[in-house]
Amino acid sequence: MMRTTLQIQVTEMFFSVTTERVPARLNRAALFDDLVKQTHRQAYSLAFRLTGNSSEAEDLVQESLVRAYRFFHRYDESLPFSSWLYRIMANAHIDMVRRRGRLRTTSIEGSGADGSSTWDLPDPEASPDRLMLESALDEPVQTALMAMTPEFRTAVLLADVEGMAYEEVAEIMKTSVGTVRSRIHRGRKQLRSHLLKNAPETYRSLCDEL
Amino acid sequence: MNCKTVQSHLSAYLDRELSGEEMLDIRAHLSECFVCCEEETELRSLKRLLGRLPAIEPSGDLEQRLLAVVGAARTGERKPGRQAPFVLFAGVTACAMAITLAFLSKSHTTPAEATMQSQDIAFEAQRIHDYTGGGDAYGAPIVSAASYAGR
Ligand SMILES: [Zn+2]
Repeated sequence: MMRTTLQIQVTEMFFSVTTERVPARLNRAALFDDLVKQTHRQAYSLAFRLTGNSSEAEDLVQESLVRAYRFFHRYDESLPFSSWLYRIMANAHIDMVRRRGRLRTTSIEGSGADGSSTWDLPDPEASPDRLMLESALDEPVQTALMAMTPEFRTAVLLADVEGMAYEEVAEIMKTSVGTVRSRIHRGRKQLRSHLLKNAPETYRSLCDEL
Repeated sequence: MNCKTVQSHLSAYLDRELSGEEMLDIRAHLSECFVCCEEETELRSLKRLLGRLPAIEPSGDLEQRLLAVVGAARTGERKPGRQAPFVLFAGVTACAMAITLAFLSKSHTTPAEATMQSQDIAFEAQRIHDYTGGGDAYGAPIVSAASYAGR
């Protein structure tokens, strides 16, 4: 189906613009390289929290940057570049997990008020890299994050780790502030119950500390 | 406000994402309700915990690798390796196209020229795929699942 569509479009493209190639604009290239240098660390950290391991995190950052570059001419400079990049990343991540989930299971839909299921199936590949996570609490938290649906995980990470306001999160996730509010609230409660169940001592000692 | 309503608003309360009136109502309730107050304390701890998670550092050569990949995208070259599954798919499609087109147009192409055409078509196929893969208001496409396939 998709292949057929693609072929038809490729045919059209072949006859019309195959020989056209946009010449590289040096300024644009240099500007983009600077943005890569400035944003890739923070983007990688978020990507790691989203995916739970370094190789998927690198892939996610890489794919998102390539797409950001291709569509750089449409980038609205009133928005911070990192927000735009996060937007590409967050949606790419959700899209990826959804597609992967669809392959693995027939029905995990339905229990969420906003159309997302409350708990995602744990991904066997998603256990966090032990070496990458330094503090004692980090690993249980990352494991708890990976047990959430990508929508909840993304909303909680953008709000609590990146420190964004609900409106910014809504903008990035292309949804309403009300949905963001619900995802963050339910996401935090899921995290808490996961930690209480799987790492109660670490969690309790940490709460006392805070 | 009853306990149920208060508890459903606690995250937004912690994040100061409520109206002034709602903030005051909840604060008043928390001052006299032990159960909701406990709940608020716990969610506050969790929020702090997340806020204090350390940033995860990439490996030292990630910057160079990313710049190289962006550079390759710039010139239309495709890097082998990670993107191989899609390139393979695009390549197969493109080869089929090139052969069909060569046949239809009865042109005489050498194998080298056919390869060049395949690469052009592969590039265009990827580009079209990007445009049709679902854009958002900023024109940023969603990363295709194809590039993740087989991981
Ligand atoms: Zn109460």
